[in-house]
This record gives sequence, C-alpha cells and structure tokens, in this order.
Amino acid sequence: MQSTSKRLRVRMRSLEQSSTQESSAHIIASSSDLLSEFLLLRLPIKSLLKFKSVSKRWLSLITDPHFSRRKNHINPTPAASALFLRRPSPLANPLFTFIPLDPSQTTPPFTSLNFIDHPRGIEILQSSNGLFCCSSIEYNDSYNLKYYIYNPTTKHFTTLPPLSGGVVLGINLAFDPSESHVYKVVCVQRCESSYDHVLIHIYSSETGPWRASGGPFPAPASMEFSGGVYWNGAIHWVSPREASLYFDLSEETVREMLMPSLPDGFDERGIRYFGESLGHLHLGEIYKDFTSQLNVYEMERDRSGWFLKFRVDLNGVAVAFPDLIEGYLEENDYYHYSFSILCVVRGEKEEDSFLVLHIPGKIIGYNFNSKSYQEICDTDCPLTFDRSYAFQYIESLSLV
Amino acid sequence: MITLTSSDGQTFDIDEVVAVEMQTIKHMMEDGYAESGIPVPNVTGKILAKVIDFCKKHVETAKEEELKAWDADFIKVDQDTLYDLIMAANYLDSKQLLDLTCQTVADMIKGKSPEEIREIFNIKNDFTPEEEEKIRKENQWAFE
Repeated sequence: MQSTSKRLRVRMRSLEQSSTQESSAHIIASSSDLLSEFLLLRLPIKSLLKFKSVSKRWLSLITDPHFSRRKNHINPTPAASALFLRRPSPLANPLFTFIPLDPSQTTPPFTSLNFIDHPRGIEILQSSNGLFCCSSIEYNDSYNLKYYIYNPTTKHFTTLPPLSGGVVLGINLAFDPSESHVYKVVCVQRCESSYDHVLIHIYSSETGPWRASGGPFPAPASMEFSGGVYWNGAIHWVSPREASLYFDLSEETVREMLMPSLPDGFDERGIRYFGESLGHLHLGEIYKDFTSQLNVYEMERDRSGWFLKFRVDLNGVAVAFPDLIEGYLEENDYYHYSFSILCVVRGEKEEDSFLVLHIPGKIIGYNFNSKSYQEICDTDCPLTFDRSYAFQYIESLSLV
Repeated sequence: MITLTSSDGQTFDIDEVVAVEMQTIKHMMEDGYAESGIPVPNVTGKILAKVIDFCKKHVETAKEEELKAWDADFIKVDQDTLYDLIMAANYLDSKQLLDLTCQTVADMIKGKSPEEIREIFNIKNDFTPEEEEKIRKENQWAFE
C-alpha cells in the first residue's frame, strides 16, 4: 500500500501543479489510477456493473483484467449471496430457481441461461468461486455436448474446445481467484480400451487446449465424477461404497481421500452433502438408524482427516416445520425426513454459519450456532434427493 | 512541536506524536526538515486544519466506539471538502483518513445512476445511444 500511495502522490503533485483551478473531484476522476484506487475498488460489484455505462474510460477500467484481480485481492473469499436450484425436469422453463441468501440480493443476474442459443437450453454443471461451468442440454446425444465457462455477473463466457475420446463421466471447474486468475477444467472420461479405467484431461484458461494428464487409472464404478468439489488446490470426488479420491492440480496426481470412519454395521456412506464454502470443505452425512442426526464434517487443511464441525438435530427443525416429516414413512426410514441439503454456508464470523435446506414448498436457513431457523423463501421447485442441484452464486468480475 | 505551513501561508503547531500520524511528514522529519518548519504546498489551511484534527483525535482516543462515532461526525462535510480531504490524505499519507474519506464517497455514490455520476465528476458521455443501450441491457439486473 505504501509504495502505491507514494507513486500516486508523485503523480498527483504534477496534476495539482497543472490544474490548480480544477475541483478535487474532477482531478480524481481524470486520473485512472486515483479513480480506481480511491473509488472504484471500494464500490460493490453491482454498482460497478451500472457504472460501466458512465463513459468509455470507466467501462475500460471496470472490465480491465488487472482491475478484477485487484478487486479479488481486496476480497479474496466472498460468500455466496444466492443459490441457483436446478429443477429436476430438463423441460422445465425456467430451468433454474433463484434463492437469495443475502437480503440485499433481490434481483437474479439471470432468469434463464441464454448466453448462446441451444434448442434445448443450457444447464449449470458446477459453480466455482464465481464462475459456472455449463453445458448444452441434449437428449441421447452426450457426444455432442458443448461446454462453456460462464461468469453470471458479467455475462461473459468462453466455449471450451471439443472433447474426443470416451464417455465423459464428469467435468469439474477449478477456480480460486485468491490463488490465481487462471482457471482449469478437469474432465474425467471413461477409457475406451479399458472399461473400468478412466482418463483425465485438463484445460487451462492460460495455456489452452485439452491435454491428457497422466495415464488411465482404475476407478470405482460408484465414483461420482460429476460431483467434484474444488478446494485447496484439488478436485475431490466422493464414492458412497468405495475409496474417495482427489486430484491435485499442481502435482497432477490422483490420491485416495481419507473419509471419516463408517459407523458400525454400515458398509455404505450416507452422504447427503459435499461442498465448499469460504475456503472450507464440508461433508454432510446421515445414517439410517440415526435419521434425526445430520453430521457435518470439515476436512483438515492438510487433508489428514476430517473433524466433526456441526451436528444438527433434525427433530428440532421438524418441530417448526412439520412438513419435514413424511407421515406415512417409518421413523427410521432413510427418507423419513423429506428434505434436501442445498448448502453449508460458512460465515465470516463463526456464528453466522448456516445450513440451507429444501423442504416441501420452502427453502429454510438453519443457524448452527443459535440453532434457530428462518424461512428464506417459498418455492415451487420440486424436492429431489439428487445431491447436486444447488449452485452457489458469488458476485465476481473475474474474466473467463 | 512541529510547524506545518499550508499552501495559503497558515501555520499549524502540532505535537510530534500527531505529526507522525501523517507518513509524509514523518519521513520529512526523519530526513531532517523539522527545525525550519515543514511546508505543505498542496493543502490549503482549511483542509490541513481538518486533517490535523483527525490525527489528533486518533492519537488521543483509544476506544473504538468513540472513534467511530467521532469519525461519522467528522466526515459530515460538503462534497468539495470531502474530495479535498481525499487528496490531502493521499498526499500526507494517512491511511486511516484515506480509507474513511474514500469509503464515505464510495458509499455516497454506489446507489447513483450513471447520469448522476457524470454530473458529479463532470464526465462527458462518449457512448453512442446504441452502445450505451447495449451495455445497460447486459447489466440490466444491476439497475433493479
């Protein structure tokens, strides 16, 4: 900060001497450095989007890659201000429902994804720190899917180069502006020559085209490659029945991810949530005999294991929202509580961390600390037990 | 005591401990300018008085609550003075004053329309109507 100020002060001195009659406001506005440093970098992103239309110079400053990097540097890990829920049916119109998590976030940045024309529309596959990985929707024609990286805040997008090779099992976006402005896309495909092996290809926004990373490796059939979560430099994949894995992007190695021990008598994990928030990786599990208890684990920074971060007694939530309980199901039935975990949202302050739940007809927030809940909004989005249909929306000026 | 002289010849005697709150003055003192007084050619007496007030208060007060309330009152000045304070805070290198003044202006303008921004900063709209319409449409949701 000191060296920046010094540079600005020197520049300012020469400005002052040449234009002593001009108002300070005009002097600041005339200097790109002063304008960015003093004002633009301190404005919320929504205001910056409005001010793109002030003048060509302001547009140029606000869309400059350097500016977006400085903005990211000032606020490296912003919280999700909303969620987008994908409706179960691909024919649904609109395909996405907007759920605001921040009271100031009233207007959705989009109501449908139409940044490029596709007869059957576009869907979100993944969200990573402000950017979305999207694909066209096709029926029975997965070989012709087009993939895009999209910034929902700026509406800019890039088309990924076409993929060749085996069936695509998952496409994962790795982006963390606090580490780098470069994003990578990790594609896992079934190996054509060996059915139980998979192959990874990587695309980088800096170096371009898909390139193979390592050779084919054996992967369990139950591995959910489409549900990868990027955290701490790696994409993590969970498997309910076999070993879970992670792919380190700097070393380009696949390793086994240690998971919390299974309770006695269980040979399959009861995974109800797997996601990232504010730099923390969370795993949410419920086991059949303990259907009223949700355990939220957080992974240790060095990946040495998990620790129990939050425990939610769902009975308390069920009392406030009786719709949560399906009357006709047995109490120890896995689906006794009719809900879906959309997101574990960590707050800047611990006491602001909350759980976002989808119950029939409503989206509710449950504060882990105060054990209190609030209705976020009503929704007509049907409940589904598919784990990844909620995508975090984070305002960002990052370039695609 | 250190003597500062503003651009319009006003002199201000301040304690060393207050003077070093302004990094520029601190460096000049370290370079040996203290004895003959320090000229501040870029800042008028009116503004320099306010900057000194700010530094004095921040040196004297430890309680954050009290300081915050005082800052909120301090910053209730007219637009021109506010922008002059930004320039002065930058020149004299007082990070706290710079943050306070810049954030105040940012908060004041964040809800304004592009037209109002042009008026405040005397900026000419160099977009064609079509160009401007295109940008607004793309970012329509931010206006709502």
